[in-house]
Amino acid sequence: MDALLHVGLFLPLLAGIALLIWPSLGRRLAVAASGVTFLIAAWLFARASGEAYTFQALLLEPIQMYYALRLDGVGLVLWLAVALTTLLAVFIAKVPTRMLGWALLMESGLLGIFAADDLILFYVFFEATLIPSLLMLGLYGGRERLKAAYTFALFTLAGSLPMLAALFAVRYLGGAPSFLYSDLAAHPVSGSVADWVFLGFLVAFAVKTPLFPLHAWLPSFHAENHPSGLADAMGTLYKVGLFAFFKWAIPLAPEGFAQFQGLLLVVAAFSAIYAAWLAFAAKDWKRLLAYGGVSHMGLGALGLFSGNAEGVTGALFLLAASMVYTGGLFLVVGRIAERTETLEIGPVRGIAKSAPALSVLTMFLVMAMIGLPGLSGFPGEFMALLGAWKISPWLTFIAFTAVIAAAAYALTAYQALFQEEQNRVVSDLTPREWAFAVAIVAGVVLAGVYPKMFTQMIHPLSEALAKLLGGGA
Amino acid sequence: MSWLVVSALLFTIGAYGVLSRRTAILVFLSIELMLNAANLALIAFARQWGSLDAQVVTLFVIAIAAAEVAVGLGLIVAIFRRRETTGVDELRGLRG
Amino acid sequence: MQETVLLPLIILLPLLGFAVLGLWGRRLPEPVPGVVASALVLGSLLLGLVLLGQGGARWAVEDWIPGVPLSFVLDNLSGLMVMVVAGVGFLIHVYAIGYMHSDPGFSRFFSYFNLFIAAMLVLVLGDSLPVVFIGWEGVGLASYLLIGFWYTERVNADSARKAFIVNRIGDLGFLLGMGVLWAHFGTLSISELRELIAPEGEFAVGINVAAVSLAAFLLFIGAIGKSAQVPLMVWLPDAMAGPTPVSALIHAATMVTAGVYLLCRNSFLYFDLPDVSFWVVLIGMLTALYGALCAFGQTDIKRIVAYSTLSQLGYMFVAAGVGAYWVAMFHVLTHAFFKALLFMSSGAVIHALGGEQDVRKMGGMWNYLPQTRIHGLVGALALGGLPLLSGFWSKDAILAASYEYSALLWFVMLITAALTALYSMRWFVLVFMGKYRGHEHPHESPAVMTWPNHVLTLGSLFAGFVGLPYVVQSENLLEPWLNKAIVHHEHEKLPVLDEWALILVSAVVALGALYYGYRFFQAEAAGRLPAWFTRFQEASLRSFYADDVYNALLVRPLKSLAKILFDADGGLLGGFWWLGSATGNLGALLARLETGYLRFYAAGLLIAAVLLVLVGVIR
Repeated sequence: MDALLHVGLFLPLLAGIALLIWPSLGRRLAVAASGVTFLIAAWLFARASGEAYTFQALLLEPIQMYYALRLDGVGLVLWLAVALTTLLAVFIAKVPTRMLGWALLMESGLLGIFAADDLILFYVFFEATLIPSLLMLGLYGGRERLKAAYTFALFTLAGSLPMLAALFAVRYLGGAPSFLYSDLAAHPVSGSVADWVFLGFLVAFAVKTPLFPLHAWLPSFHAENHPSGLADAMGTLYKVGLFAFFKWAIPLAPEGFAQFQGLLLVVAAFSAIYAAWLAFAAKDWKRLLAYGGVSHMGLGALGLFSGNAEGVTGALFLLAASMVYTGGLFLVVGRIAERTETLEIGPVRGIAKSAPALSVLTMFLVMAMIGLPGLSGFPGEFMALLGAWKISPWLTFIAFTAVIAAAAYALTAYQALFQEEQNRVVSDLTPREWAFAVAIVAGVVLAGVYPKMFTQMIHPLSEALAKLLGGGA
Repeated sequence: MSWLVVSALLFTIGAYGVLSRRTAILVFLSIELMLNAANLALIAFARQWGSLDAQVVTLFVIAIAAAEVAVGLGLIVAIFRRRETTGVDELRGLRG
Repeated sequence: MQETVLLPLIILLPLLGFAVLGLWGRRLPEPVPGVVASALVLGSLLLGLVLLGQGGARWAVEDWIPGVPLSFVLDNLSGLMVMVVAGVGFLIHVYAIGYMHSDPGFSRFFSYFNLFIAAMLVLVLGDSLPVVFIGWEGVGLASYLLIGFWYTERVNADSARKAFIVNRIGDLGFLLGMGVLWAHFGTLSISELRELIAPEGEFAVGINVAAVSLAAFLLFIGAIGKSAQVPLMVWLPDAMAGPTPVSALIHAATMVTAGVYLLCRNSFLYFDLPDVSFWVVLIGMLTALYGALCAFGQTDIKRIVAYSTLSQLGYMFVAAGVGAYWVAMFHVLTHAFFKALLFMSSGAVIHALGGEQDVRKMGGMWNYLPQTRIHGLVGALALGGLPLLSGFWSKDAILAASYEYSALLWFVMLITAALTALYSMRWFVLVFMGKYRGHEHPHESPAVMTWPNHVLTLGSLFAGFVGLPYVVQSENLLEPWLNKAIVHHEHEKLPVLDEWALILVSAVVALGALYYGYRFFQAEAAGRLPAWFTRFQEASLRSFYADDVYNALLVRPLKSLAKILFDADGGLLGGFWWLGSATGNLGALLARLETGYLRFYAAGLLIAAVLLVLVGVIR
């Protein structure tokens, strides 16, 4: 089992490097590598027994830093989501071959983020993933790519420094013997130190959730990225803030979290409704999806910050589900942009007539995004609502008006592109796109119809966190 | 006491020199003047309190000043070779 | 009550149809998709009837999401709905084979239609609120897809979108209602909630009544949205943009009654909450009146019927609000027959006139359509409440129940009943009487469209006899059968004389209004109407400016605010950039101090040294 863990983690890295050196190896290698990674993730998921897969080796003796991996239920679900989305992305996106290499490098980083059980290791993965993401934006982006890349880098780095400080504070002021999660969690910091530590983590993770007002980098990030949607899909996977709060920030400084909980709930609720509202005014698909994503993460954050088991499970489920459907939507939009040569909403209309299957696929993912029950967007959103209502009915009400707004912005944009008078003839799905469609639809339906498969992996861990916070199950 | 007055005078002259001379050499000499003013003050205090510590310090300063002169003059020569001037007003490549 | 996996099969059959027709339907020659879809719905109906005959069924997966089961139950209440949904649904499927003939989207239509049936069955059979909600939004999706079926017309797409968004407002209420129940009772299974809240037909001791009230009220908001009650009624008339079978099935017979069904299914929440029930009554009453008034001015044949649906749904809400849940379901049943019939007769007329929907260009159909004229007449009379027809019995039961609640309510509902009779005659007269005012060559529909209407005609004539008042039949068929599945207060029956008096009054009012309407609207057909009435019709045509008010107060401000915020958000990023460049500018300013003059630095050093010494001395 150990070996599989490492193979899954580093295979994309190796394949990515190979692709960067010898781009002539082509897409086939990228698909094969991410396919194997997906199979490994699925295998690990299927074989999961309630015990986490773990591995530990001392890496740096003087500071007691370990190469420690721990893939528990939450990690497995997220691995599955990341591996599936990456596979679909490299399978479908029409991009220069080297870009696929960068995407694979990113995949390794992301898998590492979800598997790392040592805080330094986590930090390394968390930061290392930035590099391919930035390079994809800087190398293959649109006209304003450098400005977008600057913005992205500055936001991320501005978050990382406080996190680095928090990371040392949490160990040395808490008195833990190493950076291992188990050691750190056994020695939580308290008092005003806990506040500062949590604040440090908060800045870094809020950028990556993203929460208002630290979401400001996201719209230009997506708008300027390569129109194929590959980098956007990978960027969507990189929105790991909720997971990081769940795994690190909250358990390591529960007192600090308690201190900020009220504020965070308000910010989360505000993010949800604010971004949904903005999405309505968006004039191109990528900004629309970017704001839509912020809105959904706001709902997830509301669930997570409510601190009870169902809210936390909902948040993590929503995180994993949104990786797949938002990533998928970016890719689909990329395919559409390739046909119509624009990402703008408005100039091209009525293409459902000539591309019915494409329109159904898009409708399907849009419905998943706006949380139609029976598709993967719903269970997470719903559990987040159940959890949040217990803590703050009013905020829940305000935040969840976003589901009305979601219907408004998503269907308005859908109508503008696919319905009304046809003014452009585009081709329907190619066989390759059909394969993509079948895979993603299967995933979205499975998670929507039988969420138990995933929630039963997540829920015990959420219950543990809720217990830690004194919320009870 | 009067030693101190002399020392203060020397220091002032040196400071004036640093501020008003235009060539690096003279500025450098003025700095040496200020350095020796400080030495003088140290000796004066040593005499006053009958302690050897300050005299030792003075010896150190003189030794180090000798090394410093070697380095400083070397720098000035190097600069002159490259820029054909030692005027401190012309050497302002580091302005903001 | 048996545990059986056959129960979800009822749902899976039409779902299978949706998938198969959606993927491969276009390769099938024309009538095949329709036949397949109809057969699958018939299969669901038969399976449902068999299981119901065996005393009901249930099926569940525990912890579908943590703490919430995926559970279905077929009891008498859901059984009745299955009969309506799959039964009437089957008839409308058959009708649609004829109506959608030679439409390029023939198979797509039946695929969506089957999706709707599947979702509606989930809604009806769900025994856990989130499962009901799956169906609830599923029918919303199907409704959206079918309203916008001819999506190349902008109006249709707009209407579909409007329906979905307005419904979502109600759905939010539903969601939050579930939040309340979860927070206070820790379960969302309907049967478990019923055990917790009203185990013995009474509220359990020590229950948090405020929480139950809040939950009941929020769920009611959901019902308002789905059943197009005031103030969320604006989507239903626009929904007529869909093909006529859609209007008949979704926007008359089944989906819009889901709100009523929700109230009845959760009657254990409402039965002992006079405050919430008062709101239900009030909303229902307002809607009944509003819908009836709006129906007078419409010129589109389907919109007249649509507003009458609104009004009849109001009746059902009143029944549920006054605690007569079985009566509400009774009206759901009879209404399904006569309203489906009215829509499909309208469809037959539209079909006969080559797509014409304006009643001002109709008239005289009595002479052209020998079968449809009977369907239309029976439908209109049943809607108008002609004694002995199905609509009369159910409406009479509602009037009797509201009389027990309050005489004023009874009076308003009676007036509304009179209005109903009037506008149903208006519809009939404008379409069938007088001379034909258009230029088409009307022809009767094919058998595949008339036969379903024959069956519905029978239903409209006789369905009322399952729920006769007790003075006619001491124990009718429906009431005790339904009440097994409903929590409610036993009412004292009205005295025999009062009951007869009420029946008599409503019969007289209905007869009088029908006759008067028949005479009065002959004048409209001839274009001779009193001036006050044309003014009233103008306001009525625009549904008393409801859409304009919403647009002015909500839609436009929200849209423009979205634009402003969108720009402001760009400004936010600009703000962060400004922060960055401000730091840079400050640096540049400070850098000006670096003059590069050696003596400038030396003077600084000296001055600083002197100042430091001075500070030392002074202190």
